[in-house]
Amino acid sequence: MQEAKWRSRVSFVLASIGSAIGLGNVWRFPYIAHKYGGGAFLVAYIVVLILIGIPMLLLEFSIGYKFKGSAPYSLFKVGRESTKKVNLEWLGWFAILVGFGITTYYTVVMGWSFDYIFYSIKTAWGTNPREFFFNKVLGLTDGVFNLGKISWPVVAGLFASWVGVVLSIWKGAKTVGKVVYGTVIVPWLLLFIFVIRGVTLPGAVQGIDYYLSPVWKELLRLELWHAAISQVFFSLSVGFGIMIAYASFLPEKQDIVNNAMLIALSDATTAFIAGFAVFSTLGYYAHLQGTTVAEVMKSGPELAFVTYPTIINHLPLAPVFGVLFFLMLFTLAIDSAFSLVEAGVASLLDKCGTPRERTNIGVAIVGLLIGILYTTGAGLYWLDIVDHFMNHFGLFVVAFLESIVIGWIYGAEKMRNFANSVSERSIGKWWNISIKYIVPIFSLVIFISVFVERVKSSYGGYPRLAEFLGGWFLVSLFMVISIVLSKKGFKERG
Amino acid sequence: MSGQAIVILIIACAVLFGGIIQALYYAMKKK
Repeated sequence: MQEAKWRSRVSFVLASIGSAIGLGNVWRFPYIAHKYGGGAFLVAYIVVLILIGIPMLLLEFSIGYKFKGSAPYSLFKVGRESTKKVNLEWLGWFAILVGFGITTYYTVVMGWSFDYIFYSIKTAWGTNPREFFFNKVLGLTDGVFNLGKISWPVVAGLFASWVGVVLSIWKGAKTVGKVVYGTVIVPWLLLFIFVIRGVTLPGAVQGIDYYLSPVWKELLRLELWHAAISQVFFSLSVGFGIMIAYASFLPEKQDIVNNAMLIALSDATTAFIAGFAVFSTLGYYAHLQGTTVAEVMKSGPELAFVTYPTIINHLPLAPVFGVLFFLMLFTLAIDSAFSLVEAGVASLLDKCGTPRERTNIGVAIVGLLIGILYTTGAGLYWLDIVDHFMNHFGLFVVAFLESIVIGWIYGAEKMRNFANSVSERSIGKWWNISIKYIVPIFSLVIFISVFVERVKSSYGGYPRLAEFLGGWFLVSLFMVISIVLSKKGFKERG
Repeated sequence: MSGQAIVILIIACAVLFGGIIQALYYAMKKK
């Protein structure tokens, strides 16, 4: 089934940037940068972006653009056209399922943000945002197997998020290409407002100094490089089949090398700028508390839903900044979420040829129902476990295998020649080295190191059974489903 | 702000914004 194409290059670039830029740019990148030596981490991040991130993004664009299909279809074709005929369709399905696994909880986080847009109007968190978030909103229980009650406001937010996702991909690239003008530009504008607001607060300079001052000896630590590679992978949306699907929607005679550079650099720049918004505000909060930035630094949901509301309480026009902040989070997240869903829907359309609208709704219903688990009192624990396994095991397995397949089976030089033949600038032979050696070696090293960590101790101190169900079992299940789905290969297109 | 922080700021801006401007230049040149 032939999918709709992007109407313009800008639509494709914005959609890819929107997919890459997400919550991680705001709540993960600044924290990781601070944890691993501030400015020293930034240097490592840029090096990794150039040596690993951009080559991987270009690899996925090349696969999608050359074979004109979703990840399962394109990888099926890669296998067919390789010297050793292998069925690689399963790898595409595995990438899609990992992405879908992420979507099921990512939409719940969007649901929290959606609810907080309304809570902000009356700063409903009052003087104790921590109690409000963990007890009132989430109804957090004392353990992973104590599910507690379903939080109906979160279910409502989750429902709204899925409605937003489905409407955004309703007619595939045709709709996405229009929606991204809002979902990319609006959060950029809001981020700009928060940077300006942040840097004009007392104490902001200390916060920024904390962000940028380098601790050079950190560059010698393996953990810093591990963190930089993980952040680049998470952030660029590679390994989920998204960029393969998005590139497949490009019409003929389109650049991919220059677009990959533009998209990767825009994503990194957004994370870099988000650091100013976060650290200047944290500097202000530390200044108010008469403490250091390190004392008030948090990451993830706690930064967004506890620390930020606490700081917003101290700002003039608190409700306005509350609404804008959570609107920014929601719009940052929605294009990442719908890109993950679109990658899955495009794969189902390629495989089954079902009507698009019905497929959109079917995928959304399944995602919504699974997402209900994360709206329970133990939802945050399950979210944490699944997130860890999807990102560390799912993503690195896909990245490792994709680079091996293209680098060693299909041929890196063949793919590089193809990318250069359609692009307005060329990528040098260093790309081959990256795809054949650097990406697989680093992906494998990270995979093994996390695997060993998990064998030694369970993630986050959770019970082994919970870790098994939300982690090992789920990843294995995705692997089995992928293999089953690939048993009946695709039909060749005209 | 410390001198080293300012140097990092300048380097990061040069690489990131420089790279974006270069990519846009290639895109415009093609047109």
